[in-house]
Amino acid sequence: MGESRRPDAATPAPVGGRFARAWDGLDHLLESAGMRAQHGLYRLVCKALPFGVTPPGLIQALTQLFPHVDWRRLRLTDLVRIPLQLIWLAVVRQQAPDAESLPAAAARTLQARAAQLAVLKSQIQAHANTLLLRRLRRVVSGEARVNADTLAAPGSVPAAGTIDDNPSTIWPGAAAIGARIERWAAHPIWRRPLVRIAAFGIGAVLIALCITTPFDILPQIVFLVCLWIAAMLVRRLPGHLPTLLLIVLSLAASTRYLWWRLSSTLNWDAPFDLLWGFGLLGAEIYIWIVLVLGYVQSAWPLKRLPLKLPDNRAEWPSVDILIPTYNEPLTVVKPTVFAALGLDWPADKLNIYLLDDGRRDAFRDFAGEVSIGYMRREDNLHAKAGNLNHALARTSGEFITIFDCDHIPTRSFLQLTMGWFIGDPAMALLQTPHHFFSPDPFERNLGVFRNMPNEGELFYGVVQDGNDLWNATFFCGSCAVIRRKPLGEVGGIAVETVTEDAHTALKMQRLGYKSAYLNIALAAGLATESLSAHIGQRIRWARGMAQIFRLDNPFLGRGLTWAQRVCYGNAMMHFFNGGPRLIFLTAPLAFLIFHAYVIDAPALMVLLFVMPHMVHASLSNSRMQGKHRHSFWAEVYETVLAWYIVRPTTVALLDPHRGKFNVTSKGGLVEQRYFDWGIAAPYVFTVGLNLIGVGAGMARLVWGPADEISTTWLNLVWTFYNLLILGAAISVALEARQQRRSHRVQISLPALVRLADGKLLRCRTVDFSEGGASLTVDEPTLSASPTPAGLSTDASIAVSLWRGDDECQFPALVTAAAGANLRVRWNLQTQQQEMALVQCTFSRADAWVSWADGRRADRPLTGLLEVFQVGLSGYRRMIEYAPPALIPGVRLMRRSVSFVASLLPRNPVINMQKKNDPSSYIA
Amino acid sequence: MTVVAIIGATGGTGATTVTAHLATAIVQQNRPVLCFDFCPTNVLRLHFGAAFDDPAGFATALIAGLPWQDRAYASASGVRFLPFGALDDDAALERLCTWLQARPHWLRDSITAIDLATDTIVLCDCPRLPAALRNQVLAAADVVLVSCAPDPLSLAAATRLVGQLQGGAGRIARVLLNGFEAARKLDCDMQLLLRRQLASLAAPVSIHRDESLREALACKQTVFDYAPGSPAAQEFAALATWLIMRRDPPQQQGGSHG
Repeated sequence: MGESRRPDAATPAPVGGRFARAWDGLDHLLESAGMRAQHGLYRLVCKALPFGVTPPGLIQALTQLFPHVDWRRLRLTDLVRIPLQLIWLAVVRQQAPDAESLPAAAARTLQARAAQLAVLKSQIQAHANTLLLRRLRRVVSGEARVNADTLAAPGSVPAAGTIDDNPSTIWPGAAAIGARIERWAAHPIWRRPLVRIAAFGIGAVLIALCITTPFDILPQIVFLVCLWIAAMLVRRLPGHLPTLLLIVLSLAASTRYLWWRLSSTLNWDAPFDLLWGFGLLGAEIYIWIVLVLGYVQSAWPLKRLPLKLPDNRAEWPSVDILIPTYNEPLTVVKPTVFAALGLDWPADKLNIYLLDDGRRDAFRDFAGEVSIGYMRREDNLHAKAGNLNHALARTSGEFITIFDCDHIPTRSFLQLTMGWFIGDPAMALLQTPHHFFSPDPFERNLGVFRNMPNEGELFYGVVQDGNDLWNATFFCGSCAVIRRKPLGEVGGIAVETVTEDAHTALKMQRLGYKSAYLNIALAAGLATESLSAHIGQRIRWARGMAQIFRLDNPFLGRGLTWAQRVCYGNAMMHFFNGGPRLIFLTAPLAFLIFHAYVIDAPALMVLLFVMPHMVHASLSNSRMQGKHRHSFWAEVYETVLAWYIVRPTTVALLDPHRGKFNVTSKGGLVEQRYFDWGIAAPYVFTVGLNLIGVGAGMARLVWGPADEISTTWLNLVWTFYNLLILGAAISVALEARQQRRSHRVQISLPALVRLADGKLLRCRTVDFSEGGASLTVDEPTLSASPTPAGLSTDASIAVSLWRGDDECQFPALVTAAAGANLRVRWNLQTQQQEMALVQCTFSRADAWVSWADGRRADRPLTGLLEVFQVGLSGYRRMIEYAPPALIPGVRLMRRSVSFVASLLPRNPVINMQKKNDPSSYIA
Repeated sequence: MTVVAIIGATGGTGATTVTAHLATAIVQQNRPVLCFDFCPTNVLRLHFGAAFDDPAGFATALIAGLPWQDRAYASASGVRFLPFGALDDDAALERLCTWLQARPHWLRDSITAIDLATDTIVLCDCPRLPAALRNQVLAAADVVLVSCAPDPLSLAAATRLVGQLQGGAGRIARVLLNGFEAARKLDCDMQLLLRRQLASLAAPVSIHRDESLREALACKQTVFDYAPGSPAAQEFAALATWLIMRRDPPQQQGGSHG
């Protein structure tokens, strides 16, 4: 009734007429003031009257309009609530419940605007296409080609896929321009040494000019705008050369910033300021080095494809599969063994060994049952590396494949990887990505599993593929094939450091052997179960990398190309980021609290120099890594780890022989949601420091000198950014519950259900796990065919899945059936069935192919917003889980906040009545 | 026009059921179909919903000297079919056999004589015995599907029969595994054997053993109507597609396979 009625049509009742007339005047007034609206107050009148003035009707109407006031039992505080709500109803527009909601309307308007903009943009771009770019292109292609040549120089590995299919190319005609640039770059003129040297020389001089020329405010603005426009035009073009150009722009901006920092922002006359300044400068230099090395490392991912095996199977080499285990339960190890047994490889050339450092009889018995090799040793010296070396001495296959005991290989693993070894005798190592089908603690605690690339994907999607171009892929401990001969030459798996994998690869590469990376997920496993375990694993990596850096530094020693040194070096340098990150998280406090000018320059100049540095680095990284990393999320990952890796890396650098291998535990449960205060403590402390800084900054704004206000603001904004990143890091410490022992993997596979009465139903899986599966029936609508709804719980059925062409049937029990959906629990009887199930599901050749489908592309600003949201929720979570004994004020604060919130006006609940009111259909 | 014969390797392999469902599947893919029931048991018609006590059929017409073409029916799903008819006694069957033996190409000639659309597929439910009827059908067939139950005897008979039939010029013969049950080890082994070692003899799909197939007949329906969600419906559709593609290949391979 009346919801969508206009004010001028309101004559509901004789009594209402007067109200309405009185209202009209105010209505016109408000309307002329630009507040055209259907007002809440008007609706109050319209609402209340049809009920009559009977008490129950009135109360019903009032309850709808004052949802937070109990009219039957009024309290003192309602004296505040009611007037506030009245003002709210009178002033703020309420949307009619049957019309679209405000957010929907806003979204629709936005969409329309966006569509207009898109059209406009494409017109503008088409124009720019014809005019600006035609001129720009000549410059662009020349410069980019210089870089392309240096990249192509190693030539040791044939580039498999050279066209980058970047999704952000929406420019009409961009592909054509990209192709033309490629043609230009491929022109034979660039092959002449003289031309190349000249181009390099000119480029170097221009870059040097860009970096060193001092600018005042206005020229610097012009410079950064030019840089930005160039980047905006270039980033829409497809292909590698525009990527390289973006990198050049970013390098210019960042180096210019560093040059400016070194040359004009250090106040040598103020030793106190200088001391703080050096800390920040050191961190910035570190960032710059890692940025430069990172660009070299991942500028041109090789995207290697599998190499075909010879047709003659007699030429296929023999392979030993080694599965080391220490304390993992048998249920975790079984699927891996079953999958290994199903590998497509001649049976007489495949030997599987279970290397049990836990010396458990159940494992020995299991190995006997499935007829695989079993090894155990007397001691646990050198942990996993020692375990593998022990096995290496007792096996003889030409190749060794290592799977961590929870990494389930797909059946095609060997057929897709071995080709490169047969094709290239110098190939010593081929690594494939570590894929995880369970969420890591970050993904689980933040609820972003599969929507967002995780930390590992950046490494396996971009970094390793970039390393591959330079023949610098390194071993990651699992899911890799190694040739026995070079491994023997370096004395087996390295035992000097706790990251035996990378170190082994480094040693083999020093001998001139090649390594390769194949970016296809050919095995999948469980991610670490809790944040503390995750951090423990990263601490081990950080410590191990620092040890290698100290004991066998890739920048020194023999046998490596400069690019290999860069790739290995950067992989290790990356783990030193803890210190610099902590400096960034606290640097603004130096000014806010201690009044130290860490950057001795006006705030505006700082902005003008630092913005291009950050924006261009962000743009080029988003372009290079967009599919495998979402902007700003890496900040969160690194911030969480920062505190914990500072100490181990520092210790390892000073005394590389300390520290031992710790095992990463997997496959466990998190029984209950809890907040890991132990892990979060350093960050809560840093947040406290930052809050003090904010207070001090506020005081400075009010009482400080006027010429410091802009600097104070700059530092405050920086502090707020830090606070949000810290909030996101804290947010991760709330451990979400992980109840299921086996993880459901959402993949659609054809399936067949055999009912107890002998009828068959065609289905598809919605998800499956080692414990059960969820199915949906293909054509459930026909009454003649038995619908799953007719199935009772605990009904015994059989589910068929396919292993290649072969159908395998598994007995199962129905646990739930509704509509077309069916959930079943496996009721496997034999080990044969267990094995077949793994081979029909986890180790299918196509099991992980479409994992990242449907994920949205990276947009830096969206990423920033998401991280901010997570940051805010981190504070909310922290307050929710604050132990009352530790922080007594928190309870009080929470209560007072919720009290104030209870006073605030809110939207009336009008649509409650709509369903019962027939007249609403007329309106 | 293509003539397809469906014959059971041994008794009870479900050749009639295959014929009826294949016919329906082909019609569903918008190809005209004519179905001949050459089995004296005269039961194919029941799949198409014919009245149980209707004795009419082309065989009775032939014996009576009447035009056999008049005995064609069309099922609700659009399959045109000719029942065999209920013969009075064995003597009548013997007379028919003698008559057909004298005219070994009667079927082919008759089909050619009636004015069928060129893309029509003629399906014949072929009996193993009497030999006169069987030879009549096999002589006319371009494609022979040997329905085979998943048991060793049936497979042995089927592979032998297909081996004999494949020699003919341009004729395709295939073993169709019918009644496959994945829970039975032997079924899986036999399918594996067919797919890996006898690949040139095997039809591209096998038909699952499915209670829906039997229940459908009890309701005088095919699974396409009775249980469209059943795998049998999908498998017969796949078989129909294969058949259509085999007979009019896109451009190249002119049925020289075999």
